[in-house]
Amino acid sequence: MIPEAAVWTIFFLPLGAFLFIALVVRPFFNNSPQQSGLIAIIAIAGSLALSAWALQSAITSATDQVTLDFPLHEWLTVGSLNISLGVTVDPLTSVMLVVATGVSLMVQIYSLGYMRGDPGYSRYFAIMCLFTASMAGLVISSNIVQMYVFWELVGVCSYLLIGFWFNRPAAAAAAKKAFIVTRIGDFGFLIAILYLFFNGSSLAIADINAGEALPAGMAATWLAVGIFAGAVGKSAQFPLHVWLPDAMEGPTPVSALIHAATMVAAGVFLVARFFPVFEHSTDAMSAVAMVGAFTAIFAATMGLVMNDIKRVLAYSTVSQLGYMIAALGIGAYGVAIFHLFNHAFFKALLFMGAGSVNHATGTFDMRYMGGLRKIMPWTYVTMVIGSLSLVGIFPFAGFWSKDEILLHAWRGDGSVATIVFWLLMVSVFLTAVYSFRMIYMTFHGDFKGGVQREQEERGEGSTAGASHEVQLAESPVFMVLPMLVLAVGAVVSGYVANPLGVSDKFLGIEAHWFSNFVTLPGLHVEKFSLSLAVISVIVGGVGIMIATAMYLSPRLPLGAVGRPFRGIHKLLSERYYMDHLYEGQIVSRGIYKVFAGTMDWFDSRIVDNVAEFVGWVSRNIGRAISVFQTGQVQGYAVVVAVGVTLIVGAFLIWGQ
Amino acid sequence: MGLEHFLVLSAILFCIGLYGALARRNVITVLMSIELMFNAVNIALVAFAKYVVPVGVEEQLGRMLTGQVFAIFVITVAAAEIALGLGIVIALYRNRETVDVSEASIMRR
Repeated sequence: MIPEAAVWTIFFLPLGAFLFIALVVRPFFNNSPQQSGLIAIIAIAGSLALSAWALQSAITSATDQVTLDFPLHEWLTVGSLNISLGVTVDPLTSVMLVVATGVSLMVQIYSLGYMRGDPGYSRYFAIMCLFTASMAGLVISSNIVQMYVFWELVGVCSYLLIGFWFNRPAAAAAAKKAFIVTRIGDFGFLIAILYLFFNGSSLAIADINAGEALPAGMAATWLAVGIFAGAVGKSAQFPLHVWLPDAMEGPTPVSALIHAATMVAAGVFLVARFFPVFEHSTDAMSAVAMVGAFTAIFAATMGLVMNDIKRVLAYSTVSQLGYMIAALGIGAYGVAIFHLFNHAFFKALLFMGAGSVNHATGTFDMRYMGGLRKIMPWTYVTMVIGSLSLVGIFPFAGFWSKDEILLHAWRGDGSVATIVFWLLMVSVFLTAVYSFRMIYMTFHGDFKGGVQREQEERGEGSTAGASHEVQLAESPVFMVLPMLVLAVGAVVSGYVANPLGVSDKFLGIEAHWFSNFVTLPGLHVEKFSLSLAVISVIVGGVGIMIATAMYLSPRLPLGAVGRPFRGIHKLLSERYYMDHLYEGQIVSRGIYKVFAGTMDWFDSRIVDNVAEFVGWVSRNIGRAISVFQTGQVQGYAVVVAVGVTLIVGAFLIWGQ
Repeated sequence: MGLEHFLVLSAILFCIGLYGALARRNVITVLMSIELMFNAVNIALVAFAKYVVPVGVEEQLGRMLTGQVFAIFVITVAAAEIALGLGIVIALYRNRETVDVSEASIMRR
């Protein structure tokens, strides 16, 4: 059994690395920044080892039917408010810890190669360590306030990392956008916390989930919706999904970390952590399921038309997060976490592949890539594995978890589950199309010139890719190695669940082990359905074939096929005009003109006039009084004498 | 003849001095009026010292001259003050060629 100190160490190791890099290495050893990368890797590897221990303890405690109880420490007591600090280790926490630290470790190793020579090398690793520490702190929190602290820290770190190249205006804007948009969701979360606080309920997560203080009826729904709002912001669900594609302005390893293990996983984790609260209200569960399923298909359609490889992956992440949220909404708790677990491997892998491609071509625009299959064989193979896993083709990891989500939706009761099932099924098809469109555009055909060509066509010197040149070669070993590790994960991580369940044990793992491990009392786990699995693979396969026909085979000229769909293409390319709506209408008109305009009017007319009036009053009082100041000492003396006489007279008359 | 007579004399003198200090324009007259007020105070001090003695003090400490000592102090300070005042008057006269106080309104700025 893991002791409490070891659980805390999972969080304190990367935090210590952050402090050490930021306070010692960066100021004093900045001429040899390689050390900061090594420190980060060592600290996070230590965290990973301890996380594995925590997972092992959670498994033992699950099989022995023992709960791991850690004491609560008093943090602050103000009047009747008592906030405690503590750690939790349960199946959900331990799986999240392993995912977060494991992916983070791979990303750090990859970053050694990718970020080489960047002037902000130490700063990069310092913030990455803080990011990992915040995520570890978030998942081990045992109190909702403690959790909220780390929740916001995760947001801050993503802000710092998305805006890592802050001298690029696009990166600064994207960082700001990510922070503000997630903040809108956080507001809902905060209101939910305040609601619990004013209701006088305990703020410890275990007590909240025990349901003793949960309100009934609409209040329960609103409480769940408040928490869900936080998840919508962080996990980039519709309608707050707009920040995630823009977050591509950060360095690519950051995208890999954000998309796989930390920022966006935090939202799914939040819903999972407060799952009993959601279960309290059927309406809240339906809302979660519908938002998730709609996001899955909504983002997948936009992924179809993006030309930036990272944006394709970003929309793919939004879509896959939709799967997880939808799975939670239909009550498939363990399956959602299972998908999160698998997704972490292949999405981190795909982002590293995109970074690797960018390392060679200098651009992210797939229209200027092509033909990289021969030049970058490792990247090609690993990315194909990642894409197959993403599409959910047997026997890759994504297949198992996606299939279980579909199965739960299919077997679920009510119309919500049915709608979710069809939306997700169509998304499987769309996922297949955009994934293989990406593979074909990037790796097949002829090379189309990379960043040099892109700049020529734009008719400009260079802005984005100033430091890049086209150097067609496989990436260095530090970059390929983590990709290989993750590729292995993307193939085999599905088997930890043994979802087939055909025999009692397969390679020592019991049937449906994962879903039974990460679950809550009262939830059932569906058995494997061969027919549904076959159908979903066929749907994915059809998608891949269509992508092949459109982007690989010369028989189908794209222009001719695309003509009737030009309107839709335009709609998708403009991202359903959501950004126009938010930035053009809501922000420019609503906030700038109406809100800021009103504030400006109030400031210039009312506040300024009040200030002027105060000045006017004192100026005129002074002017009136200054008449009496003649400079004649005798005049003053008269006033003094009269005053003294009056005072003495008053004293004589009334004083006794 | 008792304490009241001396106090009335002192009050009359003080009022004359106050009137002169407030109403006259000539600096010399003002200074002289201020001297009158000092003297009114001196008379009051000495009168009180003569007629009003705290209970029990005389039996233990003998005759006390507190009021007279104060009067002598006032005379000394008044002499110093008048020397200073006349010095200012001379300075004023040198600068303004007048001893009219209403002309000396530079305290306004």
